[in-house]
Amino acid sequence: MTDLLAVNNLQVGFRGVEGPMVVRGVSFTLLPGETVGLVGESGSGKSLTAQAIMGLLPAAASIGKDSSIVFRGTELVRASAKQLQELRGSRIAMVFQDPFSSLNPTMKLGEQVAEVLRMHKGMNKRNALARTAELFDLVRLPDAKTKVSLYPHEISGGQRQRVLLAMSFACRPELLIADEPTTALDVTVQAQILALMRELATETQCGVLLITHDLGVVAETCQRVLVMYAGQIVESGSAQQVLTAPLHPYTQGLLKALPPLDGDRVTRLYSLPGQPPNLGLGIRGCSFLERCPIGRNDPCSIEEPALRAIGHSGQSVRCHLAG
Amino acid sequence: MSDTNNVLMSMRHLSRTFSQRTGLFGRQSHSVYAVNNVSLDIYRGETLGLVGESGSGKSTFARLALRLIEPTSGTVQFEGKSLTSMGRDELLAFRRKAQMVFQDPYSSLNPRLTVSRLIGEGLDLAGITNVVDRTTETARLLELVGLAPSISNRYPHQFSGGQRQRIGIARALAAGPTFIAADEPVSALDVSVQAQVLNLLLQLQNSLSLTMLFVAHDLAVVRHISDRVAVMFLGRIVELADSDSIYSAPLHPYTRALLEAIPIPDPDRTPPTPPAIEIQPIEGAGCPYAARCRFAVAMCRETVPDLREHEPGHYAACLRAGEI
Repeated sequence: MTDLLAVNNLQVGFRGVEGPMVVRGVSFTLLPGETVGLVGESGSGKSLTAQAIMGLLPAAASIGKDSSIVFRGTELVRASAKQLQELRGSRIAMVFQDPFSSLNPTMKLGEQVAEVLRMHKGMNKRNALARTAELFDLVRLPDAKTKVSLYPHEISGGQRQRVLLAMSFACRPELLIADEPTTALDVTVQAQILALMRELATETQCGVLLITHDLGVVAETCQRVLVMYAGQIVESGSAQQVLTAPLHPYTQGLLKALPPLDGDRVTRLYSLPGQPPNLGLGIRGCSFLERCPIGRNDPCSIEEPALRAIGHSGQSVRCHLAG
Repeated sequence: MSDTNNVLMSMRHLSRTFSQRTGLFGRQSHSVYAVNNVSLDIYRGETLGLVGESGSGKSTFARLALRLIEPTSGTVQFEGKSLTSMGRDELLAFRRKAQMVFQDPYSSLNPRLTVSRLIGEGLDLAGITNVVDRTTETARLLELVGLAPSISNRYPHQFSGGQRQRIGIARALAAGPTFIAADEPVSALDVSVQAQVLNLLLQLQNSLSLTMLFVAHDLAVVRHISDRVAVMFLGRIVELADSDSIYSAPLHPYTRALLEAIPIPDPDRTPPTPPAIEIQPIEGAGCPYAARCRFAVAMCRETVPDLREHEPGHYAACLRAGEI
């Protein structure tokens, strides 16, 4: 199967290309219909990676010279604003964390979704509104017919996220980029939205890049996982492999630091010491060394580890000592 | 534990309403219960976890417990004295003994004050005025929360989220409290830092014999840190038990729904199918959860269930608890 999305050596920096890079050589591929989780803590570069794919980086950020993002054969890094505009909303759809600020507060819900259909599908207003009502049914908004003429503030956060999913899937996209789509929601509503997202993606065979900090969400949604730390992918593999047999000490630490929901309560949680490195100061050797329980002077402080495959299982890790 | 001498705080029929304006230009207003007829005891030395979704009234409850807001009706007693009838001196003493740790380590620290001045606010309450004493005490508190005393002249923006939360905890401890209300103290932090702060809170609670009200939406975090857990739904406590039984044998259907909905990093688990449609709960007659509850029968829509003891120390407000 050919890749839906191929990201190669993606570098994102601020203050020009000479400044420190905050996304430092990220490469991965996404197959059609596949859901891949991009996991990391704040500052790991996961959201910048997503923004780079969508061509929505902040003005102060710039992409490195050798970076490449290929979507269905089209190079996005050097694409024109017009080309990107045509792709976004039709073939590449997006859902963000905050469903309130993603919607226009002065426009009726139905009109906002219909606008997408009119823009990208050239539908007239009447047809677009009729299709919108169907989409609202599809995402199981209660009273879909009346919701069309409501404003964003009149519905709950979970319902707003349903509207955004309706908008995302309006043009049957090939790729959905979801940046922390359920982080602002309550846990019961989160479960509903994740179930809906899984269902829509399966039905339309849409590839999904799910950005999240929650390993539980990954387990329930993703086939593959990429773990980011300090701007790099430090581990990748199937969700099964990474969550049950993590190889990188960072992934291991993240999983151990979660308080368990069953079994005996422990008096002390495992915690990684310290905090992520300041990328502005430059890094020599492994970026995780300072917090690493198994790291040692040689080779960890001297040589930067490469992302290397372990066995033939498809699991890769950026660590000298793993495996 | 039910010995009355052991009760530090006691809430009785505590309610708080807020008025909500509706209609064009907000001309009509009606009151909404944020906390609705809650009675609860907090024992000395325990950590009581309070969980619920947004809008359940858990933060309002913590604020009522510290008298940061006034109750609409009902009472809060601290060491046997009612908070609302305390005189000025008594209230000042209460402010020293009861402190709060906030959710957002960014907005809860004044950006214009140095660490030593932030902690100094607590020392003022504790009545430590001598300059030398204040310096030693600040250094001691910073070490207690795992920070170097040398940082005391820095400003909040120079620290990471986890470090700021440690400063917030040091500030709360400066007054020498016996009771701490922590409102979502780790929810703004990353997982690896969250574990550090949770360990610190547990260790401080043990070594200083603090009583703690720990408010959070994350059930796993609450289980980890709490001796007992209360579950709130629409301003009411619907279940209350020790941490182990509430997670291993929940009685209320809402508690069960909450527990089932938590995503667990176990790829072998099939995620449960949640109810497809969220139903807006209706205020008024009957159990507030009845509209969402798959076990609801006719009587649930007529009677508001009381919080009843089903097993020793395990309370639930459900007419059908035990049979479902």
